[in-house]
Amino acid sequence: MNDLSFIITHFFATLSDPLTMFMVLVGTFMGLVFGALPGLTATMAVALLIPLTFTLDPVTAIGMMLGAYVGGIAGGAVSATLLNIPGTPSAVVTTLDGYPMAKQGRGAEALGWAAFASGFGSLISWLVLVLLAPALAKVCVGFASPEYAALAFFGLTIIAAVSGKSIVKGLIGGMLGMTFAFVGLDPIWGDLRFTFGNMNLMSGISIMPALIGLYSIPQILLSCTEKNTVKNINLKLHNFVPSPKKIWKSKVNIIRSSIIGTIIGIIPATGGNIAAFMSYDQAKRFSKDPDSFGKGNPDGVIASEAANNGVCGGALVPLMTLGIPGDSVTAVLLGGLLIHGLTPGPALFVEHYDIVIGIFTTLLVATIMMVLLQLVGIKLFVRILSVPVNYLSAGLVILSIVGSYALRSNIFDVGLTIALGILGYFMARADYPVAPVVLGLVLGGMFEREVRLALRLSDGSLSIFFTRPVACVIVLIAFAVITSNIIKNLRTRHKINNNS
Amino acid sequence: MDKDKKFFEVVVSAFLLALTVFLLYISYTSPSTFVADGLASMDFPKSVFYIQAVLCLIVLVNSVKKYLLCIKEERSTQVSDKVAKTPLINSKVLISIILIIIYVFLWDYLGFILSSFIFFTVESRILDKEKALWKCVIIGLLVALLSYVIFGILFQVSFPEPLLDLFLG
Repeated sequence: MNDLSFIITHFFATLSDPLTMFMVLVGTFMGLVFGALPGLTATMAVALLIPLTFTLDPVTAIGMMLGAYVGGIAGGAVSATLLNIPGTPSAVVTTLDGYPMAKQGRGAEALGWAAFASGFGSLISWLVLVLLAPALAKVCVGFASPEYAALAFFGLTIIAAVSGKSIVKGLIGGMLGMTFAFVGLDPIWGDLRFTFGNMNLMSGISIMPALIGLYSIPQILLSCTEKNTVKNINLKLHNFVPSPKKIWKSKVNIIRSSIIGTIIGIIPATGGNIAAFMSYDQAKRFSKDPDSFGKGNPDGVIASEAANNGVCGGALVPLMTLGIPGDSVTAVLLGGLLIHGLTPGPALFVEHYDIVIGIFTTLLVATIMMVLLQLVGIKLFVRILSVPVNYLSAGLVILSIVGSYALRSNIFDVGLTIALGILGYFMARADYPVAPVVLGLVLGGMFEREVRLALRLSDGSLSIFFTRPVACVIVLIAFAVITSNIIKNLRTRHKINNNS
Repeated sequence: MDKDKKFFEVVVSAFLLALTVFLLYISYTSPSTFVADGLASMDFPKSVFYIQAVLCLIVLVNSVKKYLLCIKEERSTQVSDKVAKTPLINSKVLISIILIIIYVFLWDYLGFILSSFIFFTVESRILDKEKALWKCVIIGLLVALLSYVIFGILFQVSFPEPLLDLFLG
């Protein structure tokens, strides 16, 4: 009872502090802006905020950073939906259905679902963080190379779900992405691979320039010959706030995607994009109308956004309890915590329990603010679609080039973006899907590194993936997914042959 | 057009196959510090490249067959000579690609603001010649300045500004 009253007291103390609430609002808004602009990421938003928080008390400071985190991840859906350009890596999957919805004049509906799903995903992961943090961290700290390799392998099987019409082209795209991931230093021996003597390639191909190049530039080039096709719809509130009936209809997808995101977030060194891909695959698999995915099905947007925001709370579990960051943003947050004299770990919960409650409270508030800001901003966001294509395209080129330059202030990244952009344009003309390339780039490096480490542990024996229970389960699920995809593909071909 | 898509399929598949073969050659000829049992640094990439080469070859052969079929069908149907053939790549796309490359190239000489202004004005005018030039100029100026304020000043991105440096010494 004393503990409960302690928790409630500090919960309301945080809520009633106007400075803390204001700073969380500022952080969330900044995160949303960063997330919505291609090339700027939630990681950058949090990193930029750290120096601004030096004079603030720890709860206010961390709350502001958490606002930027939650807002940054959610903001990626705005440009993903309206422009087919993911604002953050974790919004790649949102483009698959969000953009088709925008082209059909349902951009506001897509953004409304994105806002709601993001909020729900964050809320579910917040509950898990608050209720189960220490217990879950103990499970995930046991993850080693075999488990990570199995997870990456499972992630790569999702290529089939995002390949569209041709799985073979999807596989080629996935392997092209893995090829990009090979560039740089070999993870085990340190040999330079495919750098051709260029120093800029020694650290590999950065994901942001690759993402901007593969999504933004081709989209801009393809729209060069288009006229504005989306009419200026007179928006009313019911157009984009999902109704309770629709929410109830999608409840399974929302909850499942949020849980997937939370679990992926808890596993260190993963991230929102893996969660979004996995969640999308599951949503498509369990859907009554899987063929509608990729053509403007709101369930695709829900799956992606609930999962990538579900990562937020999940990633804080290993961070707060063990001091291990769950993703790149929490790695920066770790720096923020240390600067404010807070050392993450079990001791944090004992010595600074009041601050922990304050941090959990600010995360909840940031989630609510994120949803409200997005819903309030939707009418403004959708106006982007009314901007004449010539101005929009020219502006987007500048934004994309700046976005790829901003990360390292390196003109080489810009050159890479343009080269990949031209390749992406021709791939789009040839009907090669781009999402598998991103998947291969994101997961390829992790897959190779962990497989090789696991094989070294087992003296080259593949049995290590089957003798460790968690790895075995994940690998078997992955094979089940591959088998079901092959059977589905064969059935579809058989049907087409019979019809013709 | 289906025929255009098949053509691009042939081109892209051939390019990817050539790239894969090239990278396979590089992986065999690159030096390695590998000294123990296990996978050397190029073993994993080689496996991926072999699979990729086979898949690219499959797609290339299929797309060549379909492209030749498209050409055969087109020749056998009665097509009026007056129907204008659309170019494979729209001239606006080609010009945009060239302009983007020039824009980036100009950063080091004219700086971010000036090159962004010039690029925006020229590109927006080329994409829609019906738009008044003065509108493109005004919006171009606003976009360039706004981008500099947001990214250069607020977000502290360090852009090359040789002309500004020259004036300010």
